[in-house]
Amino acid sequence: MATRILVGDNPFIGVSHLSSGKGVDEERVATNDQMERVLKAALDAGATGFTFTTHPKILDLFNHLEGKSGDILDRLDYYILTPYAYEYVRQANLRGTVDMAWSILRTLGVSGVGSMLLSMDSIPAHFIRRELEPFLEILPKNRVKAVLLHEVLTEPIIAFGSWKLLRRLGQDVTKETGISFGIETRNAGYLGPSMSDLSAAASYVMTPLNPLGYQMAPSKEACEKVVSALGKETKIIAMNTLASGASTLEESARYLSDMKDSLYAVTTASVNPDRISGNVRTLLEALQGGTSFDKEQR
Amino acid sequence: MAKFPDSSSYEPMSSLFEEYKNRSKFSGTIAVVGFGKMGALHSTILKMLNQKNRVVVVDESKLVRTAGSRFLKGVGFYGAVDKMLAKESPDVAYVTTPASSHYDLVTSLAPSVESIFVEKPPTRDSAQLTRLIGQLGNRSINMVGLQKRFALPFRHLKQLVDAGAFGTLETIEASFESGDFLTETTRFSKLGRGCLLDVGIHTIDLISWIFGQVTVSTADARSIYTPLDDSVDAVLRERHGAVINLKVTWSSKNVRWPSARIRISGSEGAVDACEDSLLLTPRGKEGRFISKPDYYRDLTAVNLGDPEYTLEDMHFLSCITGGIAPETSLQACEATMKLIDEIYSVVQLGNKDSGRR
Repeated sequence: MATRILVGDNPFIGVSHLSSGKGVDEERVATNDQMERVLKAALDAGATGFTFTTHPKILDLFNHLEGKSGDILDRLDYYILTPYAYEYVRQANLRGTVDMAWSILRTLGVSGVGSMLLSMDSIPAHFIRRELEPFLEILPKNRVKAVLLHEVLTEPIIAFGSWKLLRRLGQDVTKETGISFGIETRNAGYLGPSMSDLSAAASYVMTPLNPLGYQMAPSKEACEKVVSALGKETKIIAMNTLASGASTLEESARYLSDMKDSLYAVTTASVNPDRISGNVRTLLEALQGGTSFDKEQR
Repeated sequence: MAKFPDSSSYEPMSSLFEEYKNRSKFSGTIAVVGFGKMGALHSTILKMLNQKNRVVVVDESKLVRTAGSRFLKGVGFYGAVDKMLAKESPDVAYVTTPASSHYDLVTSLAPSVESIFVEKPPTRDSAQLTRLIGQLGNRSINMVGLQKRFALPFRHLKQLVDAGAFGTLETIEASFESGDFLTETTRFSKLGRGCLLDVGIHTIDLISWIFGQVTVSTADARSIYTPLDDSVDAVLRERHGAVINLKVTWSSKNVRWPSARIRISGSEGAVDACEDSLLLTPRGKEGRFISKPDYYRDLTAVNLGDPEYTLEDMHFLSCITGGIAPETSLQACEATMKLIDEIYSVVQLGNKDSGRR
């Protein structure tokens, strides 16, 4: 049953699936001090974790928090989404995908196709570990709960059924970091025929769940069926729970409360401390089964 | 004159999904030529749309072939088009290599492959496009990857303009901004054209599609990080005389994501449309904002990149199964490429400096 509320980082790093202009505005507001206020407000309201991308701005936030006397860093659990895909897309535009890939491989000690062949299967995990390293140096070790593979890498794996690759990657990441492994996908409905393969490879699945069905592919119904079945053996983290702002908090809370037996955690995000506090309280009430609106409006 | 639209007028847009779903029953072998980010994106969408689709990849990079064949189950990898065609009989080819190679690759694929999708820009200029169309003749179904036409806010915008919803058009602001190039690069030197062709083609195609024939009044370009046009400002006019102020850059520090935008001001009201949203403002009244979640809800069959990528792939496949020409066929893009040529003919290119010409 989901009683964990996680703070998401999208507005901190300028991501808005409602409008890019909103993302830019929120990113400007999200100074280290403001993000600290948001995390503190969320913790005080009952949130237990923070799910974030391996973005330089979040690393800077952690450095900021580490140097402060408060205990925010120690009070949160962490769910790390990696790699920070947008930066690699930008690099691919600038240099071409192959040049970009070689530059990454060289930093991992691979000098040519021959040496790549020798270490091929372990390269993906080395790459992920390198992305994580600066964050793991700062975060309290026992509070990092999961490493989640970004959709840019997850979706091709789902499409082509590359479960052996995912299983190996998950095993290697866990072996090298001691952290559980999972995926993030916006196409959860396609996991139906492969749920046993997925469960064998990933302990966590983070995916959009909202009353509008926004970003739930191929359909809201297909995603709900997969979450209902998969949630028995895999920890499901609901993200984009407000449909990028198109659903009301009350609608979303009611929707998620109906699915709470299948969910491990629910994310919510804002750059406003008062709003995040309200979101966390409302979601917690709904997921714990005793909301006033729940009784009134059902 | 059409009544200014109410907020429910986006509802019929969702029928597009159902239409494509019903029509796109395609399954077959798809050759993806060039397995960079666009090749990987289309491959993933096409495989998710139908698990029966078989994907084969052509890429000259040994790194790509070695890693891809190890990690992607069931995908055949080849180093050249002729080697692939010697062993495979693809029903469809996607050409997703750098633009400078498009002409030669499409030409080499055309005798063997019935349906060809080529990423934008299809060729370097309109003359090369006309030659390519001549080589293909009428036998093949072909499509250019101008996916912005499939973004629902822009489709909605076209419906509104076609219906005369804004009255007499007064001014139009059209732009494409990205922050892709903020350091020096020579990646586009071989093509010899910069941002106007590579990313501006999206906005220019939207202009051609929505407003029909336009003329070029003035155009200025700046070179900032490349020897080519990194920023272009042009003044165009649509057929009734309204001014279109065009701004294209791939070196913007103000945007996180690449974005096309069209703002129209008319006698009956205004509209501001981008890939994510559409803001309708009747003259003298408050605006109404229609967002991406309102447009797409749970209708996107595959959610990877922006929804318009999946829609353009579904459109292409549905055209193949239906035997009809895609909306962004090579022929349909001639007007767009000619307008790009016309703007380039006004600006002078190639001399690296930071001044305006």
